[in-house]
Amino acid sequence: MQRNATPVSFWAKLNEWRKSNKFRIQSFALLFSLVVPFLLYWALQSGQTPLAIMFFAALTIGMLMTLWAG
Amino acid sequence: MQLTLLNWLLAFAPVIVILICMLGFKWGGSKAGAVSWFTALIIGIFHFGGGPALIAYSQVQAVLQTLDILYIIWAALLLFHVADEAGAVRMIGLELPKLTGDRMMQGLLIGWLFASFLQGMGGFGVPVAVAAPLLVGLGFNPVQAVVMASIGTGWAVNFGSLATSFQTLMAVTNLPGPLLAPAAAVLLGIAGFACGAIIAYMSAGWKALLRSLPAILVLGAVMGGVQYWLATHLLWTLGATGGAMVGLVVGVGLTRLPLYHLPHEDARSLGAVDDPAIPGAVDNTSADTVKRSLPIAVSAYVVLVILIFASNLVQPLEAFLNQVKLVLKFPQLTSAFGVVTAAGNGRAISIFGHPGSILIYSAIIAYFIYKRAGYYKPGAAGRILSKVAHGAVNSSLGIAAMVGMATVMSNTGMTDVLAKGISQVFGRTLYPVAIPFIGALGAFITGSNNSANVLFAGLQMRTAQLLGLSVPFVLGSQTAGGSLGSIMAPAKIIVGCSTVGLNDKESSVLSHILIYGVILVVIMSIATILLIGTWS
Repeated sequence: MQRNATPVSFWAKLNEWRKSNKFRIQSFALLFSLVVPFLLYWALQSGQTPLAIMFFAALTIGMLMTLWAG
Repeated sequence: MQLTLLNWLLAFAPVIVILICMLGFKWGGSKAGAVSWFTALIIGIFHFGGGPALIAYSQVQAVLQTLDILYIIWAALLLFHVADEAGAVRMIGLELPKLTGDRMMQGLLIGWLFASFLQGMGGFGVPVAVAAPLLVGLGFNPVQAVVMASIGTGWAVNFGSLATSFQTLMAVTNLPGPLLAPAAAVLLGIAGFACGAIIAYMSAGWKALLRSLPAILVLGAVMGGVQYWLATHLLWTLGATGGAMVGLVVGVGLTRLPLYHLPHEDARSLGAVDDPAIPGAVDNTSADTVKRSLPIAVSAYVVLVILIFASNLVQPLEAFLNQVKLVLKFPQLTSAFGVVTAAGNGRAISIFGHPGSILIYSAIIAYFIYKRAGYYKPGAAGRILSKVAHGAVNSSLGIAAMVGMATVMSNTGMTDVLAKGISQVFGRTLYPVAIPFIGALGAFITGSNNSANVLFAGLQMRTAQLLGLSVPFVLGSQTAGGSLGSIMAPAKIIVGCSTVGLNDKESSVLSHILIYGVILVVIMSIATILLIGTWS
C-alpha cells in the first residue's frame, strides 16, 4: 500500500508546490525567455555551436516551465 | 513552398492549437502560447524546412519584438498603480458623476469617457475593473455596468495602454507608424460613435439615445479627431489618452447645458455614490482620512502628457534621449524550401527614449508628487511594485511565447502559405469583410489586441499584398477588429465581473457583450468595404 501511495503523494505535493509558487516559477521562466536569446545570439555570432545548442535547450526549458506553471 | 491543403492545414496548426487550448481547455494565454510555440517549432523544422540557424535566430528576433512590447506594458502598469495606490484614479471617477443629474450623461461620463481615459493610460482590464463599480454605485445593475464599461473602451484599445497594440503592429510588420496610423485612427474613430451610442442606449433606453445624439456626435468627433491628429503626428502613445482627456473636458462642458444637466424621467439621484457599502464608493470609515485635491490627483497624467509631447516635439531632447539603442544584426535566413528572410537589423529599442521609458519617468515624478502630498500609506512603493509584477508576468509570458511562435511561422514561410490560402478562398472582393473579424477573433481568443496583432498582422499583411489591397488599411482594419474583439474576451470579462460581485454570472455578461461587440465589428466590416477602395 505504502509503495503505491508514495508516488501519488509526491505528485500531489509537487502540484501543491507548483500552485503555491506559480508566480515565482513564471517570473523565473520569463527571465529565462528574455535573457537566454541574447546568450544564444552571442553563441551564434561567435560560432560556438555547442554553446548555442545548450542555450537553445535552456530556452526550451524556459518554455516548458511556462507550460508547467500554467 | 507550394500551396496544398496539407501545407495550409499544417501552417494553420499553431493557431488552431491556441484556439483549442484557450476555448476548449480554458487555458490561460501563457500556457496556450507555450504549446503553440512548440507546435510551430516542430512543424517549422520538420515540414517547412526551418534549419537550426533559422529557428535559433528567429528566437532572438522574437525577443527584441517582445522586449519592445513589454517595455510599454510594464511601464504603463507602473504609472497606473502609482496613481491608483494614491487613490487618484478612484477620486477622478467619483468626482465626474457629481456634475450632472442626468442618468444617460452619467453613463456616458463614466462608461465611455472615463473608461476610455483609463484604457488610454492603463488598459489590461483596468478600465472595466475601475469603471464598473462606479457605475454600480450610480444605480446601474452589475451586468449592465460591466457591459457598459467594456463596450465604452472598444474604440480606445488600439491607441490605448499608451498604444501598446499599435506598437506591436509596427513591431511585427516592420512598417513605420506614420504609414499605419491614419487608417487605424479613421476606423476606430468611426467605432467611437457607435460605442457612445450603445452606452447611451444601455444607460436609459431609446429616448435617451435620441436625446444623446448631439452629445455623441460632438464627443465622438472630438475624441476621434484628437486621436487621429495625435496618431498621425507621431504621438500615437497619447492617441486614446489625449482623445479621451479632451472628450472628458468637452463632456464636462456639455453637462452645463440644460439638456444634459438636470435629471430626466430616466435619471436617478446621486445619493448612493458615497455609500461605503457600494463597490467602488469612497470608504469613509477606513483609516484613510487624507483629503485629496483633483489637480494633484490628475498630476500623474499631466506629467505624462508634458513628457510625451516634449520627447516627441523638442528635437534636441529627442536626440538626447535616443542616443543609446539596442540593435542586433541578423544574417540572411533561408529555409530548406527557399523562403528567404533578408539580412538586416532587428527591432531597434531606444533604452532612454522608448515610450516605456517616458512612462517610467512620469511614474517616478508622479510618485514623488503624491508622496509629498501625503497620499501614500507606509509601504506604498513595495505594494506598487508587487502589483505591477503580479499584473504583468503572466501576460508577458504569453506574449513572449506567441511572438516566438509568430516569428517562426513568418521565417519558415508558414504565414505565407496561410495568406495564399485565404487570398485564394476569399478573393479580392470578399476578403475586406473578413479582415476585422479575423482581428476580433484573435483578440477574443487571446484576450488581447496585442496578441491578436502578433498572431494575425503578418498574415493579413501578406494576404493584402497577394490581393493587391492597401496594406496600411488592411492592417488598420485588423487592429480595429482586434481592439473591439478584446473587449469581448472572457479573460477581461472575468476581471470586470469580479469587481462587482458577479463571479458566477460571467456568461450573462458575455452574452450581452457579444451582441453589442459583434454589431461593432460588423460596422468595422462595412467601413472597411466602403473605404478600402478609396485608400491608397
